[in-house]
Amino acid sequence: MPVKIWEAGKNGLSSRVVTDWDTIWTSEEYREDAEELDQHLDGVLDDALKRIRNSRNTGVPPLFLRAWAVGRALMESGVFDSPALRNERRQILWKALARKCRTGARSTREEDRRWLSLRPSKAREPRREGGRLDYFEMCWWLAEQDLQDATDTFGGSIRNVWQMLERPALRPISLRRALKKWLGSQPQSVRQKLYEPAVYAEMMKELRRRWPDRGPGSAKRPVHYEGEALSTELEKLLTPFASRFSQI
Amino acid sequence: MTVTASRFRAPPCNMVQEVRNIVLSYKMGPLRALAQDPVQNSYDACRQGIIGPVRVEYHLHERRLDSGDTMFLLTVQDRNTTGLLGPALSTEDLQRRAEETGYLRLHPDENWAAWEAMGYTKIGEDDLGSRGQGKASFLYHSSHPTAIHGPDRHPLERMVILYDSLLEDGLYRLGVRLARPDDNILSPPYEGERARRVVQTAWTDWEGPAIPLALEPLSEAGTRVIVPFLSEEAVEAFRSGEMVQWLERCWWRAIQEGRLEITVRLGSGQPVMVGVPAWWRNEPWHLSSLPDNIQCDEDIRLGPGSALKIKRIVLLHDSSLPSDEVSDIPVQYSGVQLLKQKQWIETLGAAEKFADFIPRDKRPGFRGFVEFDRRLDRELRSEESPQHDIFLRNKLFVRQIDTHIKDAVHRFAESQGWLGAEAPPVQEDRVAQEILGTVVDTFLPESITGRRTRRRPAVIWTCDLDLDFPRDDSARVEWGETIRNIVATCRHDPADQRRDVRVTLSIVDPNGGQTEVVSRGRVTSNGHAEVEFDDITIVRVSHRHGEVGCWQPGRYRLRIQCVLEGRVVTSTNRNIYVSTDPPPRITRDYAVDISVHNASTDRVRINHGEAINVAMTVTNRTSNATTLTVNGSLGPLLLADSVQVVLPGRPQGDAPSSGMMRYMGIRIFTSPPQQPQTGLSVVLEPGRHSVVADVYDVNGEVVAHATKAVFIETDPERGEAGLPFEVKPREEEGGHYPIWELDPPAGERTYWLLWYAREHPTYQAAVAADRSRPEGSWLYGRRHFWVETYCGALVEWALILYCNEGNQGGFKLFTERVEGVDDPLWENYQTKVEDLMQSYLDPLKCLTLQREVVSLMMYLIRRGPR
Repeated sequence: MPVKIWEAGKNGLSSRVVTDWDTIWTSEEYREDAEELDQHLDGVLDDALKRIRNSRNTGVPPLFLRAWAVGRALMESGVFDSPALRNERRQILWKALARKCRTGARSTREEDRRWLSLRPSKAREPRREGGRLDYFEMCWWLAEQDLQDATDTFGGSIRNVWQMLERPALRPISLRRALKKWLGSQPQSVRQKLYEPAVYAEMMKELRRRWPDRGPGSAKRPVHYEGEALSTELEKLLTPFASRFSQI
Repeated sequence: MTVTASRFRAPPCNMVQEVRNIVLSYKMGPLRALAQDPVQNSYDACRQGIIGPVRVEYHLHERRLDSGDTMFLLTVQDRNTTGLLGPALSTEDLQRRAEETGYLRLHPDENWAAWEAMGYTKIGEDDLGSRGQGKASFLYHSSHPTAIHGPDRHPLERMVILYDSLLEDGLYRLGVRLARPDDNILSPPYEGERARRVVQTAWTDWEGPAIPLALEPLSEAGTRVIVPFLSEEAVEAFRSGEMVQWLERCWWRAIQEGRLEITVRLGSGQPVMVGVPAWWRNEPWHLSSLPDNIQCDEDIRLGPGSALKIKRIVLLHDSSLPSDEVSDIPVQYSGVQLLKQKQWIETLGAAEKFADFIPRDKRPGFRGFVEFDRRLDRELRSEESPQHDIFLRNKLFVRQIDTHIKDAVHRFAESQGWLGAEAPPVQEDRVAQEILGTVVDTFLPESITGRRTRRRPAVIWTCDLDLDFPRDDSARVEWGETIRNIVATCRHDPADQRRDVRVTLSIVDPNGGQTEVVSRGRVTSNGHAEVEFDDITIVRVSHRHGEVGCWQPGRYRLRIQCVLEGRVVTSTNRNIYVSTDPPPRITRDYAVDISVHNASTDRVRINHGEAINVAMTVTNRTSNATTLTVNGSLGPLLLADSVQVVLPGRPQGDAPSSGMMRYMGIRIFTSPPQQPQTGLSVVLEPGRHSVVADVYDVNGEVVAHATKAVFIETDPERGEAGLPFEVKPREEEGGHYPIWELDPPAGERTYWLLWYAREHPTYQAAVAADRSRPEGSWLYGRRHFWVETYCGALVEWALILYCNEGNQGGFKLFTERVEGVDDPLWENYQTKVEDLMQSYLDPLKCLTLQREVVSLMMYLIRRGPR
C-alpha cells in the first residue's frame, strides 16, 4: 500500500512515498497510487470535520465526538475497500493520516489548519506492530456503533473506550451491544457511577478474567455467543458492580 | 505386667541443623538472609491507615556476660507495623482447631501464633512466607556452643532469640525461642510488667548463662527481635558496613518509593540510614528526555494479548561507575536486578547472562532493574524460591520475562555501539541442517512440508480396548489371574463405506518384543466394528489356548492393531503389570492436545478455499470416571461448545483413557465466500491463527488447555516447520552459557528459540572430533552434538507445554507412529515417554527419565529407519 507521508520543513511542505509493496528502485514508483489515496484521505478528514460540526449540540463530550467522527468518516469513505489496502497492515495508513493532521497538508499542497484538531496533540505516531493500538484504530473501532449507542456504551469517555479495545477478546460489536443494553437497564445514578473510568476499568478487568485473550479459558470468547446468551453472561458478571452503587 | 497406653508425642527434631539447612540454602549466604527476611516480615505487617513508611531499625549492642565475656546483641525493631497480634496458641490448640474446622490454617490476624509456629499458613496467604525463613535467619546468627559434646567431640551448638511486641491495645509480650537442638518456645510468653522487667534487666530462665538485655521496653506498637550471642560474621558485617550494603541491595526500591525506612546503628553511635544506590537516585528513568546512557521500556506485555505486563525495564551504563559488588558472592548490581513488590530477588548478571552483548570492559559500569505490574508481581509470588533469592523457571511466563530483558539489553547494547562490526558473523552450521533433517524424519515426520512420509489419509481411524483387570484399582496381574471382557472397537470417519479390517490382539513384553495373541477379521458397519476376545490368563509359560506367557515380572502391554489392506491404520495399548506394583502417578489429572491437518493438500500453509481437519483429544489419567467439558475454537468459529466428554478412570499403572473430537473439512476463507457453505467454514485474515481448546472439570475449573497454530495464506514462521524451534548460536566468548537453552515465544516472536553455545566445551570437542573421523561410525563430532541437542530440546519443549497447561501435544508430536510393528527400541522409547508424562512432578525422576528418553532417541537415530 503506497501512502504519502507529509513533512513540514523550512522550505514548506514536502512528501515522500512509503510502501510495503515490492519496488524495483524506490517507492517513488508508486507516487501516482499514493496521490490517489492522499486525495481520498482529504475527503475523510473533511467529512470528519463536517460530522463534528453537525453533532456539536448533541451533548456528547468533544473528545469522544471527535474520535467517533473520524472513525465514521473513515468507515464510510470506503478507503478500506480499496484494492491497494487488501491484506495489508493498516499502521502505514494511520501514519499517513497522522501526518496530514499534524501538517494540515492537503493533496493540493494547501494547508488546512483545522485538521490539527482531529488528533490529540499528545498522541504519538503509530507504534510498531504489537504495541499499543493507534488512535485511528480506536476511532475506526468506536465508529462501528452509531454515535448515541457508542456514547451510551462508554459514557462518552475515551478512556473507557481504550479499556475495552485493549482487551482483544472484548472487541466484538456483540459485546458492546450487550453492554449498552445492560447499562441502559441500570438507574441513571448507578449508570453514571459505572461510567467512571476507575469503575469501568474494573468492569473490563472482570470481563477479561471471564474471557481472557489467550491461555486457559480463552477457547470460548464473546464472539462465539449467540442471541441472549451473551447478555445473560454479561449480566451475571457485572451485576455485582451495579449492586455496589445501588446500595449506597 | 503393667500395660501403658500408647500416646503420640513430637519426634525428636534437631532444630539447630534445620535452621542451618534453611539459611545455608540462601545462594548469597546468611547475611543476605538477615537483610532480607526480617525486613520482609515487617514490610508485610504494615499497619493500615498509617501515614509514613514502615520503619526497621537494626541495632547492635555490646553486653557483658556473668563470665566476663563480651557478647553482642542485635535488636531488629519495626514501627508502623501491627505488632504480633492474636493469642499465643499451643500445639494442642492448633491440632484441636484443625480437627474442628477441617483445615490447618491460622487466621489473618494471628501473627503471634504464626511467628511461633513453623510451616503454618495464614488464611488468604500462600505458603511462601510460612516456612520460618525469618525466624531461621535470626536463630542462625545466635548460634553458640554449649557444654554438651557431640559424637565427634565437637561442642554442640544451640540458638536462642527473644521477641517482644506491643500492640495498639497496650498488650505487651515477650517470647523466647530456643533450638538446643530441639525446638522450643516459651509458653505462655511473659506478659505486661513481667515482660517489661525481663527486657529491662536480663533473661535467666534457661540452662544457659543469664542473658543481659538492658533494653528499653517498646513504647509504640510494633515488634522487636533480640538476637543474643550474635555471630562473629554478623558483627563484622555491621562494623564493616557490609550489612548496610546488603540492606540497600534488597530494599532500595521500597526505600526510594517511601514505603520503607531502614536504619543501622552500632552501640550508642549515630544511626546510618540505608539509602538508594547513587545511579538510581532521583529516578532518572522519569526524565522527560532520557540521556543516551539510559534506556527505559515500559508497559511491556509478556506476549501478544497477554494480561501480564512488565512495568519497566531500566538499563544504564556509566563508564565512571566502578564495580560495586560484595565479593565472592553471586552478582548483585552488575546486571539487571529483578524486583518483585519493590524487593530485590535476583540479578541476571552482565557477564553471566549478557556476555553476547556487553563487552567485558563495559560490564563494571552496567546497571539495570526490572519491576512488574501488580498482576505479574502476584503471579511471580508463586514462582519465587522460599529464600526470596531466585525465580523458578518452570513456568512459561517467567522465561518470557527473561527473553524481554535479553531483548532490551540487546537493543541497549546496539544503541551504545557495543555490537559493532567486530562482532563475528553468524556462521551457518551445515552439519546442524543435515542432522535437523534426520531428527525430523525420525521423530516428526508429519510436521513439515515435503518431509512427510505419506499424505494424511482421507479416512481417520481410531480404536479402543476395553477389559477388566483382576483388581479394580490396579493394573497388577499375578500369574494365574485372568483378564476378562476384552473388547476391541474400531471406527473410521467418514463412515462412507464398509471396510474389511483385521483386528489383532498382541502382547508387548518389557523389552519391547511383540507377540500376537489372537486376530479376527471384521467388516465395518456405519464406520464401526467390534471384536470380543476370549478371556486371557497370565502365566509364565503358556501351554493352552487362553493363556498368555509372561515369563518375567514387569510391565507388559496389551495392544490392539487394526490392519487395513496390510497396513496398520490405528492401534491402542493397555498396560499390565505382571507380579509387579505399578508406579504411582505423579502427574496432571487431565490433558488435552490438538492436531490440525490441511485436508486439501500436502502442506502446512492453508490457502483461501482449502479445508482442514481438526482433532482434539482429551485424556483422563486418574482412576475415577469423569465428565469433562470442552470448549474449542478457531478464530470466530466455535468448534466445541461445552461438549461433554465422559472418560472412564483407569486403574493405577494402566494407560490413560482418552476421547477424541473431530471436526472434518472445515473450509478456510480469507474473504467471505460467494457461494453459501454447507459444512463448517470460517473467514480469517491472512496470518497466524490458533485452534484453542479448554477442558473444564465438574467444578468449572480449567484443568487443561492447548493451542495449535494454523497458517493462513502464509508460510510458518521460522521455527514452526520441522522442529518446533528456531536454532541460533551464541557467538560471544566468556559467557559460560549452558550447552543449549530454550527461549519461549515472547513479544512479537511467536516461535521458540534454541540457543547453543559455540564456546561450550562440548561443542568445541565436537568440532575437534570432526577432524579425526572414527572408523565405522557416522554419529560423532558435531553430528553427535546436534542429535543430542535437538533431542534434548524437543523433550524439554514438550515437557514445558505439558507442565504449564496440560497440553500433551508436544509429546504426541514425536511419539505418534501407528505403523511401528515389533520394534523393541521404539517400544522402549514410547514407554519412557509415557513414564515421563506420568512422573514429571517428581523432579529427580523427571530428570532421570528425560535423560533416558534422550538416550533412546539417540539410539533410534544412530540405528536409522527400519
